[in-house]
This record gives sequence, structure tokens and C-alpha cells, in this order.
Amino acid sequence: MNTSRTRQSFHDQLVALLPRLRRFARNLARNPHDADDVVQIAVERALLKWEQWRSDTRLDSWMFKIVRNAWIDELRARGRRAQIFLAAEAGEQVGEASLERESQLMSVQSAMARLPQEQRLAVSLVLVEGLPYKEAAEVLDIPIGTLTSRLARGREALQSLLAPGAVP
Amino acid sequence: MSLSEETLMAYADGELNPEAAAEVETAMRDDPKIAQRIARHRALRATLQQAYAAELALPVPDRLLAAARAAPASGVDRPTRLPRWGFASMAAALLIGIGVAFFAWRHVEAPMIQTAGGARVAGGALDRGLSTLLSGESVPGSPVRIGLSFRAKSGDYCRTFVLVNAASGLACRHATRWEILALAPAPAAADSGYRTAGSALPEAIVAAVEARMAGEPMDRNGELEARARYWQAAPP
Repeated sequence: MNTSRTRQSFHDQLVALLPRLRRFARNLARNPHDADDVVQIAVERALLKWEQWRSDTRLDSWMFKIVRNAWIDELRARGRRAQIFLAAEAGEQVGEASLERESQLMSVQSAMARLPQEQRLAVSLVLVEGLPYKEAAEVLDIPIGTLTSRLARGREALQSLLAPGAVP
Repeated sequence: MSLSEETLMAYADGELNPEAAAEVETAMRDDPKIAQRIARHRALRATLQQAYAAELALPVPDRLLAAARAAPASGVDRPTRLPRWGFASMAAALLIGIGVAFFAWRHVEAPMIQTAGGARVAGGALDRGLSTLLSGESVPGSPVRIGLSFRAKSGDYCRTFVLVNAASGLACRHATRWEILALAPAPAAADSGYRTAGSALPEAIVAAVEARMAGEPMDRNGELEARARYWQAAPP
């Protein structure tokens, strides 16, 4: 049947996308195990509504958005636990800043981890995942102007974190 | 010449319309500084692409592959909407809910030490702790503490752990699981809790660590990077 062939191709494309979904989810959730959990939830949700995906649009953008929404739901569901966790994380970052200053080289990943979430996601979608601005704005549910300003600020912060000699 | 940084960034990303792009190109010819700023944006993009490329080669866990290949839970012939529920089905749903809650609880309480293929492997809270905690961190309610992390001579990542008041051990990451290579009961609890993780380790664990460790224990940055790679042995 035509439908089953279409669905098979959807499965195949989904499997091929998994490494990128995990990479995006890691930038979203920070903790790689949470990232895999959220990818799994997103994949299950996508399969429930795969027929809503229009094959003339990008599957990666569609999936990134489902991953992002799944993560937001997950944070809500965790409620208070998540708040405690996030507070602890923020404290950890403060402590890390002085520690990092001592090291000469900062990896790109640790520099990314220092960005505020909204800038990190803009950078992650456009510069790492290669989405056009319009698609990235759509994934994050924000106007394109907001996306470009987050992207510009994130870039600026990364430039100064990664520039040789910028770290005294 | 006042071209905003956002405009130059958009040019570097190929996001400007032809007219705006032509304007930037004219400005670039007149002012080498503008060309430099654009080059900086392009270089950052290349740096990020390169830094994140390796993550695509990480092995994908089976559970995700299975999820992506699974038939959708609501098959073609089943209605996409839930049926209206009467009292009987509500009662049934409540029972199912209790069952699910119990199952979830059981799942959380999965044994921390399991056997798989003849090897002892970490499960439940221990598996999660080994994979997610940095040395010295702890999660409220979890007995798992991590002592130190290091690269074994085999290239694998290994970590010592303490299960508070119960045991301590050494686990090394093989493929997708933590194999427990040494395990010892906790020393008498007389004055436990005030010693450092290192000095609290029984002799047997220390010996197991010394037999395997290549180089120095990892620092915090090393742990962060290893965790981001799911503790998969990286090429040396």
C-alpha cells in the first residue's frame, strides 16, 4: 500500500535523524540522559501524528519542535523537582566560572554551556544544526527578529569566550 | 559606514536578500574591516560545526532505535480520539492508573546491582548516578556518591562509587552499561560520613583502581566532557 510505504519512509528518516535529535536535545536538556529520555518521548509523539507532517517541509525542523515541546512538558511535570535542579545548576555555573578562568583553553561545548538557554538554543539550531533563521524561529515559537537578536548575542558571547587570549 | 553586526551575521549565514547582500558586498570592498567581521562570523560557524560533528558518530541507544521503528501506538484502524468514558471504564482506568503508578515505582526502585551476560552491571539509581553525577555531587534521596573518575589503560572510563552505609565499588563503562569490576561492603559505620571519598575506599577497591588507572584522575572539566559523550571511550 502507498500509505505503508510512506510510513516506512517516515520511520527511515526518523532513524536517520536520531543522532541530530540527540545532539539538539543535549543542548536543550544539558544532561545527556534527560536528553535521550526527551528524544524518546518526542519520537513516540511524532509517530502518533506522523500523518500531520507535510512531506514538502523539513522533517528536522518538525522534529526539533516536538523535542522542544516535550522538554517543556517534562519540566512542567517535574515541577518543583526541576526548580531545585535548575537552581543547583545555576549555582554550579557560578562556581565554574572562576575555575574555567584558570584553564587556558575552553572547549566549544563548555563555552556553549555558559550561554543563557535562549541564546544556546538559537546558536544550536542555526549554527550547529544548520537551520535557516525562519525555521529556527518556528521551532522556538518566536518572531524572527527575536531569533536574530538571540543569535547575535550568543555569537558575541561565544566569540569572547573562545577567543585566544580572551581568558586572562 | 554603519552596517549592524546583525546584518553582517545574516550575510555570513546567507540570510540576506540579494539587494541587501549586494550592499554588504559593496561595503566589504570599501572597508577591509567589514570583510574581517564577516570572516569572524563564518569562522565561528565552522568552529561549532566541527566541535559538534563528533556527537553524530555516537552510538544511538537501542531503545531510541526501537522507538523510531515502532508502529505508532494508535494503529491505522483505531480511532485517534479517545472514546467517551462511562463510570465502568473510569473505574477501570483508575485501576490501570494504580497499576501504572506501581509499575513506575517498581521501575524507580530497580536493583542497583544486576547481572547481565555473566557480568555484574549497574542498574537503577546506581546506573543513573554513575552516568550523571560529577564527583562529589549527590541527588537528594539517592545513596549514590561518586569518588573519582579516570581513564583505564583500555581507554574505557571508570568511576569509583559509594552506596552510603552499604558498599563501595569500581565500575567501568563498556558500550552502553557500567560493569562493576570490584565491590566491597562498607566499612563499619562507627564514624563514617566524615572521611573523604578517597580515604573511605576499602583496600580492595583501591587496588582495583591502581591496577587499571592510566595517568591521573579526571578533573571536573574532564568529567563534564566525558559525560557529554555518554562515557564512551574516545580515541586516545
